[in-house]
Amino acid sequence: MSLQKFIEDFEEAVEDIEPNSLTAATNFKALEAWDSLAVLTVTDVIDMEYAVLLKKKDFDCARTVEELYDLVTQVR
Amino acid sequence: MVSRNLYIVGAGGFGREVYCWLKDVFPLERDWQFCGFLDDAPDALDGMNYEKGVVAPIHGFIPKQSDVFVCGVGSVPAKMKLCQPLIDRGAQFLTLIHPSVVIGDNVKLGTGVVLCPGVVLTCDISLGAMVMINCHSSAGHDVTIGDWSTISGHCDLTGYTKLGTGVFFGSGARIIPGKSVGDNAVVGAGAVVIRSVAVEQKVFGNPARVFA
Repeated sequence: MSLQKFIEDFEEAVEDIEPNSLTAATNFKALEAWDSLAVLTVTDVIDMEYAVLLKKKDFDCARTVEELYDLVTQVR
Repeated sequence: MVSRNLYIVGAGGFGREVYCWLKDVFPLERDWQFCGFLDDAPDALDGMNYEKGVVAPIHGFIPKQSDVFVCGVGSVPAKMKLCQPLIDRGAQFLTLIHPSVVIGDNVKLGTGVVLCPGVVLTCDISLGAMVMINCHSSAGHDVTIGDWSTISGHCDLTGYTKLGTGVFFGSGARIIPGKSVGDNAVVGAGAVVIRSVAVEQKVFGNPARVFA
């Protein structure tokens, strides 16, 4: 798995954000499109693509897309 | 009123349901008389209580000027395969709207649409040709459904959702507002679509996930 692929998966999951608009350093919780549905769709895509089921505390801990990626890689 | 000869295309399960709904059309609104089912299996209604039965195969049927048709096939690939050659030979498909259907303002229906009992179409909706919507399904504001799509019973298409051509929604499937479903995609029974579905994708479950 790569950080770049993870960012693409994240963008695809949220849907209402422009492709290629996110970076590893993006504070995803500050995005206008970040809402409870986005939590669900990102959780689902990460479960499907990486077989990791994130918990609420994971989203609470992570601030940037890269920090979320690090959490997923640690669990894997 | 000029009387035309009406045939139901397909004598399978959905075709027999369509026959029931045809009988509910108010007599004053009928400018046709029911002449029977078309089906490539001549024995499709054997042993069942249908007065007219299967009168001719679909394959090779040559429509007369006075003939009209209602589609009684739910499966998307099957209805395309069976009805398109009839249309190519000049068949005129009627739109069947059960008297219990509720339709709001600015709703456009294509030819050959079948709306079963309890369907609700709110406002500013567009349905393509040969779209079937089965019992108790609803479409909210600004929904568009492409030609040949089939929506099974008890589905909920919420506002601003867009369905392409030949989309199939299984029983009880639903989609959240603003999401889209690509051409020839299949949404399995009971699925809850929370992300848009790509062309020809098959999704199932809650939240709906890609299967194929």
